[in-house]
Amino acid sequence: MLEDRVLVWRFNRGNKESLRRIYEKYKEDLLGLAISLLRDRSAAEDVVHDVIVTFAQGVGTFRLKGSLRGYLATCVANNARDRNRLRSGRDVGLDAIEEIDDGPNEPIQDAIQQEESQRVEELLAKLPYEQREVIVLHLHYGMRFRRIARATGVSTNTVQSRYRYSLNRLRLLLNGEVEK
Amino acid sequence: MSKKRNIEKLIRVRKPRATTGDCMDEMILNDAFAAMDKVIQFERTGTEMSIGRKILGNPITKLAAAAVIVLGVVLGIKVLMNDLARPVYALEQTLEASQGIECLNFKCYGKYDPCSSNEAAKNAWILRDANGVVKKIRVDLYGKWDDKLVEVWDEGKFLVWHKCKDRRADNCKNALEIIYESDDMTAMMLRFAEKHDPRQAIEHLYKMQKEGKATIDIQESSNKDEPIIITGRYLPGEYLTNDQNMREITDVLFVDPGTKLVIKKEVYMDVNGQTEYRGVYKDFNYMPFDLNVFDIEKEVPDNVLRMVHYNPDDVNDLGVDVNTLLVKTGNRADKMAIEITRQFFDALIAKNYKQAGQIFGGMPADEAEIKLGGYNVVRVVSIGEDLAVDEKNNFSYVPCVVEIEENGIVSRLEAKVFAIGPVNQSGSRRMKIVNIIW
Repeated sequence: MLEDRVLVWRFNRGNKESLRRIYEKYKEDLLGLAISLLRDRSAAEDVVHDVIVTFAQGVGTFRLKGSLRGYLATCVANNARDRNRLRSGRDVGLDAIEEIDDGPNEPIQDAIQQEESQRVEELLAKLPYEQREVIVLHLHYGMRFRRIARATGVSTNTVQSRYRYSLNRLRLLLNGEVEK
Repeated sequence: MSKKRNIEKLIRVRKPRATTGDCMDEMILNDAFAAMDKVIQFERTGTEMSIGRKILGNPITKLAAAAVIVLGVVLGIKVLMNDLARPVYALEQTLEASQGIECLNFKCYGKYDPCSSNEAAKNAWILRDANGVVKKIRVDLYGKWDDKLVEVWDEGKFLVWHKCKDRRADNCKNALEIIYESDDMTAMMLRFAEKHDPRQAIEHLYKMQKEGKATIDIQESSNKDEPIIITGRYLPGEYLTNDQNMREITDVLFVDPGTKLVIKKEVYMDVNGQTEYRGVYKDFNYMPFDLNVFDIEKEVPDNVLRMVHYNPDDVNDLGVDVNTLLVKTGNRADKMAIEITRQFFDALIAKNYKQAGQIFGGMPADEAEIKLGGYNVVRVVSIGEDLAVDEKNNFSYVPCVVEIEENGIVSRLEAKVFAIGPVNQSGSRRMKIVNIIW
């Protein structure tokens, strides 16, 4: 996105307002991702904090190759993974996350979909971290398997297997509700 | 396959987003700024030490470095002087450059409003007088069904022509509607001019900045050929439309560094914390254009029906009350157009132009005397059956034959009387004549 490139260009020249704008632009996205992965708002806030501060330390040398959003999301995923290794799996209530509407729907369809997707969201929290990570990064953040593989340090095949396994597991957990 | 898609879709729709608090924002930004300062400070110190060591290390390097410093200082002063000599852009320059411009043509492309509601593009012409007062506006809207809506506002007269090839187009009437004395239409078109004219956009932005309701960032490139970029961020509800529910809007205006006129405008909207692109106005042309562009009555083919409406905002005085017509027709709704045609000709024969004008779209009596009295209708020979043209809009025509008298000679004339009714959907149940083809 053109605006991101301009922001990064200005940020690299020490413009604090650009850093503020980058933060304002992606903060909710990044916090949402961190909460999805860690299920803990407090830990998620720490993740976003660390990612933004580390990003700020790159002033003058940061080179944007892909999308800024993708870069920051990868940083959050990496940081969250490190944190997950250290902590015991404390979960946070789902009301910590506000879901985004994906577009207009018929009211009745909307209501059904809303209920089903809430159920899936709850079940998603029960998946092991590595599986949830693949699902969240791929489906919520549109990250490709190859990129997830690079970010997580495993092969693309492993990521794809985790993804398939996660979906199958979610389906089993849903107990056929979706498959009707 | 479909099951897999279902579950993926369910996960996708729960795309998470969490709201951050002020405290979190403040803490993160303070720490980030501090980290940034630390890096910048460290790099400066590090670079200074490194240069110092090199200078002290070798006399030749010392000399070369001194020469570089002298050269740098000389060049720096030159650049600084150039920068000081170069005038810095200010919004007032665009406002001044826009003064006296009478013609404006531009195009608009966008996914949503402000350009359009259905991904259509607009081509617009605005004509002002020397004092900057809007005199004429034309907007061509391109619809998705290969249809085109042409709207012209000409000092109070509003013309709308829905040119459609495909019947799927909304409200496709394939008719030219000429509307007089409509305050609503006038307000709508003037608002369009106000909202889209770059001069007004800059005036508004300037005013909002002074009131603390918008921020302005101006980027001026050292390359004199590059446009000046003005980024105006409005607080929610403070955009040009004065819509209190409007979210935070960002206008990015591209100004020609030579003429200081706006050449392009991009519009972004804040949606759930994301800056979303909404549309672009471009191809701004301030050169005079052919004024025939506003004369769409000439442009519309003869076979397209003309419908005339007067004073449509004041519906109570238009046409004839449907209940009155039903009493006359013995509750036959399908005979109402015939009855209103009869009443219209009766009024013309009696030279009651006030009543004839009222039935005919609300036309004023003096205008009815000139436009309708000129035919001098003396007798109705026959009135045919009501033929529906557009049932959805209660629009039909009645073929009839009348006798007219001119210089003592009576002759027969065939006429098609077009009637529409009820006039509006706001509770009024009135029918009116909108056109006659003699």
